[in-house]
Amino acid sequence: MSFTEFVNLFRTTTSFDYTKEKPNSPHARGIPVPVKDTDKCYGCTECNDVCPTKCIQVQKDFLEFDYGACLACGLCVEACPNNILKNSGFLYVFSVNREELVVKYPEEKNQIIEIKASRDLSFLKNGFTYREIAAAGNNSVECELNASFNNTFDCDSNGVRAVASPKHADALLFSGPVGQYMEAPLHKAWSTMPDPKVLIACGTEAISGGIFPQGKLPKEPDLYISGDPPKPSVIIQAFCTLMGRNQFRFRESLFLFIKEMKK
Amino acid sequence: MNREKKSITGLFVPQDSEDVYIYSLTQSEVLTRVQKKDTLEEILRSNRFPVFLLRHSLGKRASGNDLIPTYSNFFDREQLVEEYRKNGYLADLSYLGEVMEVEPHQYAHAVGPIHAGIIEPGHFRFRLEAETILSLYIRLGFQRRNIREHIRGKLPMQAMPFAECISGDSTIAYSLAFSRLYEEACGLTVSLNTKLLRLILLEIERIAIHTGDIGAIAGDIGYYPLHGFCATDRGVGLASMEKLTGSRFGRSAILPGNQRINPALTKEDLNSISNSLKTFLHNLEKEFYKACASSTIRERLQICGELKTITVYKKSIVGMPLRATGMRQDLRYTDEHSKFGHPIQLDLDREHLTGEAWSRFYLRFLEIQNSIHWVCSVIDKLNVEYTPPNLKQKFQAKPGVYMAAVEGWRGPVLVALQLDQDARIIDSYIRDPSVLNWRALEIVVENELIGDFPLNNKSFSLSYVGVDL
Repeated sequence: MSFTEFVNLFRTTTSFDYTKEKPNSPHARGIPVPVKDTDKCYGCTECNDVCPTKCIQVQKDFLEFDYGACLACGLCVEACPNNILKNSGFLYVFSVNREELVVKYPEEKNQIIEIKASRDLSFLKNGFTYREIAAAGNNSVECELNASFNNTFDCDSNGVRAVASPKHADALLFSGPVGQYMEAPLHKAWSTMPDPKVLIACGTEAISGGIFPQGKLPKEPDLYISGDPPKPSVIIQAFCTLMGRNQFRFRESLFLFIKEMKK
Repeated sequence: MNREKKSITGLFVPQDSEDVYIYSLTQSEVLTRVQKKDTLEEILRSNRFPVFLLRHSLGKRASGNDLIPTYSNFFDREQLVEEYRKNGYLADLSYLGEVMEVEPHQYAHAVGPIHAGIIEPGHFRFRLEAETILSLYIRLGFQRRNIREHIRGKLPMQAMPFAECISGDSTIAYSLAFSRLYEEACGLTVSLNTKLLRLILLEIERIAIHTGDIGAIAGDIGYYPLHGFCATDRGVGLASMEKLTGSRFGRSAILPGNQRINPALTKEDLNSISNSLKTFLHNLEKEFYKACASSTIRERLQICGELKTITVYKKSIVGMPLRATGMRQDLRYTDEHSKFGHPIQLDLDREHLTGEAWSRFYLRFLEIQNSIHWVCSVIDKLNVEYTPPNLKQKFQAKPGVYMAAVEGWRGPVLVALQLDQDARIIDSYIRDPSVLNWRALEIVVENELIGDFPLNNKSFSLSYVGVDL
C-alpha cells in the first residue's frame, strides 16, 4: 500500500451522497411550474404557442404539463402575460410510470395513480449493468452519461456500470427519439439481452421524442428520466429509485417543493 | 491559407432555384460564389470538391445501395455524374453488406452500428492484414433525424430548437450561426452586451468539450491521472455555462436578436466563474505538463494519426485537424473579441503542431489556455441585468439565400438557409465540420495499427449525428 492510498483511508469522500441530495439546483432552469393560483389563468394559450414540444394543455379549470416532453427551455415562463409560471430549478423529473410525469394544476385535479413498477424489479436491488444506445439523439445525453462515471458523481459506487455488450447487461438504456434507422439496431440489441431485463428511457427525446416524432420502442420503458439532457446526478438518483433504494415520488416531491416555493 | 488558396467548404443546391451556392474557406472567413445549376456536372467532376461534400450536399437516403459491391465506385467522379444524371441525387450507401471480398492473406473487420461504449452509432468496416489497417470505410446516417425536412416552412423561433439539437455538444455554435443568419437576413442589430455574452458562451463550450476530449485521449493511452482530472473538471465549464444560462449545454440561451441570460445571475457569480476557471486552468496546466514530462506519453501520441498538409489541402479538411497541422485558419479572426478590451490569442505554438494525434491533443490544451485567458479578462464587463426577450417579434426578410459560419470547437459550422419574406425556411444546408473531417480519419488510419484506432478516433472527436442531416 502506497502512502497516498493509506492517507485516503482517513479522508472523507468528495463524491455525492445521493441520500442527502436535494431535487433542485439553484442555477439550473428546471421545469416550469405555476407559482400563483391557476385561476388567474384566463386561458390565452400563449405558453403553449411558444412551447417547442407543445406540452402544455390550457383547459377551462386546470393547466396540464407533460414533463416527459418538457425541454426546460423556459420560454413559456417568459410568454405568460400574468407571470403565473416560474422556472423552478426542479430537476428530479423521473418516474417508473409515464402518467406520473403528466401533472395537472391545481393539484387536486390529479387522479391518484398507483405508482409502482410494472413487475418485480428486485433483481436490480444490488446494482446492475446497462448497455447504452444512442437512438438518433443528439450527443448531450451521452456526454452526461460519461460524466456520471467521474469522481464527483461516481456511478460505480452506486453499483451501476456500463458494459460493452447487451448480452452482459441487465438494462438497456437508450437516448434520443429512436429515428427510423436506429429502430432495427435497438430492437436487435433488446432481443439479444438475456432475461430478466429492463428498458430505461433517458432524456426527454427518449420519453416522448421531444421535437421529433418518436419511433417504435421494443416495449414500454421501465424507467423514464426526463431532462434535455438530465444531469448526471439526476440519472444516478433515478437508478437508485429503480433499485428500490429510495422512495422518491415525483409528484409528491414536486408539490412539496412548490408549496415551499410559494412561501 | 490566404485568399488565393481558399478551399471549398460547402455546396448548397436549393431545390427550386436556378443557382447553386459554393462556399469557400479562407484564413478567417467564408466566401460565397453563385453559379448556374447547369454547371453541376462540372462541379461533380472537379477535384476541388471533396466527394464526401458532394455526397452530403446532393445525397438522399434512398433504398440502401449495398456497401460492399458499390464502394469501389464511391470515389469515382464519372460514376457520380452518371448517377446524378439518372436520379437527380446521389444515393447513400447502407451497411447491408455482410461479406467483403478480401485477398487470401487479409481479413475484414466490421464494427458497429452500436459500439462498445457510451458513444453514438456508426458503422466502420476495416480491411486488415495482421494488425495493420489497409483501408477503412465509414458509414454514418444511423442517427439521421431528417432535420432539413423538419425545419422546412418553420419561422425563426420555431427553427431554433432544431438548430440547438443538430449536435448536442455544439449547441452554442449552431444556435449562434442560426441567430447571426437571421439577424443578417432581417436587418436586426444586437447590443454589444449580447455579442459579448455569445462569444463568452462559445468559448466556454470550447473549454468544456476540449477538457473532456483531453481526458478521453489520456484514457485511451491508459494514463489515468489526467483522465480522472479532466473527467471531473470538465464540470467546471459546464457549471459555468449553467450559471450563465440555466442549462449545462446552453440550451435556448441564444435567440435571433435576443439573449437569454440566467435571471438568477449576479456579479458575484461572474467573479466565481472567473475564479473557478482560473483555478481549473492552474490545475490543468499542472496535470498536463506532468503527463507531457513523460516521454512515453509523448511518443505514444506522436507515432499515430499523422495528417499531412497535402491531405488537408486536397480533401478540404477544416477546423481543429487543420490547425493541428500548423496551418492558420480560424473564423474567430473576424469576430469582435478585441472590442471588449482584450483580443483573444489565436496564433498557436506552431512548432509543436505537426499533424499527429499529439498535435490534436496539444492543440486542445493551447485553445483551452487562450479561451480561459480571454474569458477571465472580459467576463466582468458583462451586464447581468435580465431583460425578457421579445418572443412575439415579427421577422421580415428580403427573400434569398443567406449564410452564416461560426467557429465551433470542432471547426467552422456552416449554415445556409433560403428564406421567404417572413423568414420562413424554404430550403436549408447545414454542414458540420465532421462532414469533411471523417475523410481525414479514414486517411490517417491507413497503415496504422488497429489497436490505435480508438485513440485516432478520439483525437478527431467527430460528430456522428451532425453529419447526415
